[in-house]
Amino acid sequence: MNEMDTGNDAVVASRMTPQRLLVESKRTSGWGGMLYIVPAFIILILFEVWPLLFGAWISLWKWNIGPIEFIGLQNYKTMFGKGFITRDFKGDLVVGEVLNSLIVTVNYVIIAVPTSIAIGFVIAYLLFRGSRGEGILRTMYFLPYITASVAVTMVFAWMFDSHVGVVNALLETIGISPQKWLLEPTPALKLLFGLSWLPDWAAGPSQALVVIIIYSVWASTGFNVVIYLSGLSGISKEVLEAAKLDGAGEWKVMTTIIWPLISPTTFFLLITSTIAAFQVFSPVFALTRKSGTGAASAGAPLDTTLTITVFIYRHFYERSNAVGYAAAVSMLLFGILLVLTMIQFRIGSRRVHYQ
Amino acid sequence: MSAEQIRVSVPEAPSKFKLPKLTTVLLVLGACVVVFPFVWMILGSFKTMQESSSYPPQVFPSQLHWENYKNAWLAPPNTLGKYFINTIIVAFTGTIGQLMVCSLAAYAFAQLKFRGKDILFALVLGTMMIPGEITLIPNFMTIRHFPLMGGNDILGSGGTGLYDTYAAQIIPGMVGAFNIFLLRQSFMQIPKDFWEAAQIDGSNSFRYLWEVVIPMSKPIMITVFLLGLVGRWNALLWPLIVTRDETLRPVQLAMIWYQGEFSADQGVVMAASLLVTIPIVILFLFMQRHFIEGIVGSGLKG
Repeated sequence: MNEMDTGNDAVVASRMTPQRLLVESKRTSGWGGMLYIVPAFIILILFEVWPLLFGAWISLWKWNIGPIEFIGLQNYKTMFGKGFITRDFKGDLVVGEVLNSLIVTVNYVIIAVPTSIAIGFVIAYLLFRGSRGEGILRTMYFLPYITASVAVTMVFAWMFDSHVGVVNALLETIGISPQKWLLEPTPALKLLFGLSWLPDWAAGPSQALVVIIIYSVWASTGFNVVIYLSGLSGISKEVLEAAKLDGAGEWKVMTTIIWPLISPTTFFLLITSTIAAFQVFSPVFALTRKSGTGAASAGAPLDTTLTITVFIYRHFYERSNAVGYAAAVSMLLFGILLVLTMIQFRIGSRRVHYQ
Repeated sequence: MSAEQIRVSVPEAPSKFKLPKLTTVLLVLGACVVVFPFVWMILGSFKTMQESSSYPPQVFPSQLHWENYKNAWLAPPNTLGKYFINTIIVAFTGTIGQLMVCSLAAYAFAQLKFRGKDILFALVLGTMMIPGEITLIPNFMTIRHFPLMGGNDILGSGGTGLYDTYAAQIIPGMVGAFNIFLLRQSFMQIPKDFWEAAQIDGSNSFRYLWEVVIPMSKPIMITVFLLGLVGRWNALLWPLIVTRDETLRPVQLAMIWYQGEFSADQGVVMAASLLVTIPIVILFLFMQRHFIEGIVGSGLKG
């Protein structure tokens, strides 16, 4: 962006005649232009910059409705201490609540994001190759992304209901016994393969989390399709034709030409989707709340869908004595996302540009 | 037709020409899976309580039970209409406000010159790196302790501040650095000669923005407007946190209410879901091109 800006200015400068300089000078006259950015800056500073600093401040306090006591790094000590590893009632070492949320979130991210991107690529590639009714198909694939909301989540809750859900009915027709889905805290891999020697925390997402992943993939694939289509349309047709004339088959063209050329798009999607997925809240809240008891149950069953944002929500909003602690967990999330953003900037600035 | 032409030009690979058909079949199958939840929602919205809770599920309702829609509309304390009014107020005010505030800033960054412009623009872009979920708790505090509002004193204590107001739902998300960036990109395309011509006609910079820059940037304005509107229509977390009063809450929170009250009667829940989703679907179908352009634009953000 910055190169573009200076480039533009340089072009303007090189064309400058004396009259133009006179006109330009009126717009260069100091502070006038700043008036235009004042409204935007007031809101940005009040609701974007200030909360970052204030959040860091809150995380150093024991805080419920207001500040109680300044406790320095105590919240962080608790977070990385018994929040990570703690002892259960029998005295055995178990995963703490913060580490549990991190594991849940990472399970969610590393499955939902690549799946959604892979499916998005396949669909975009097929659409790119051309098909009848391409326009309508593209609209249908894109619709979930635009409509994704609590309202649409409701139908998933019903489809995956353990008693009356249509998904269980469909599975039964191919001989698979009904599943508990959103009520099932057991890791999906254990349900499939046994693996009783594996501790639950290392066995991947619970079946309940799998339902949320299915919803998220459904809701986000359309975005990836659109971005990939725009990337694919930038690949020169001559290159593809030349490869075909040289006798390269469909698969070869796809793997050796299209996939490498489109890799900047893949990288972009991977990072931005990961950043967004780390903050997942709505589907977890809407799909898991009712399966437990009352409003505090989002993240059920047995906290196996308790992603970091839902964890923060729970501690901040439903246990108002833990606001400082929730703020500390927010800072941990911010740290993770900051690292991801840095990676994006580092590698992103080196990547090839696509139109 | 085109397949025939290619067959002539590349005769050595006949297997390719069955593929377009296979492509279509695969795409249609995929689309069926994608659209299925919507179909199931529509079918469900016409089912009685018995039909929606039968197992194995009854695919088609025995008759179209339109009363589900009536029940869904009338069930909440102030009808679903009240939630709709709330969402419309919040979404339209927020999005129009966003367009105005962002256009002013984008115009300054694109066309005007002032001290510190580059640093200030970098600062705007920098705020894109702050994830919304991080600002949740402090922003709640800011709303709750907003001075001189909702019974608060000048130090922000004593009352509830902007908690449970439209303003709390509208103002915090009103800017969006990315929108400033998108609008600026578009405003920069306008040749500087236009500004000179306008000045000879006696225009000032604000009139120039209003009469020339904005009308010339209509497509991007529409895109920013639509994406802002849909984002606000579908929002959950922020309104959930800054409101408690059901008469001020938006439609997505109505869905949470239905989930609690009608967990046994999926017909009514599906009817409500459909009513809440339909406006966005219609908007999308008519304005699809603008949506796609906006999304592709967001792909250039990195």
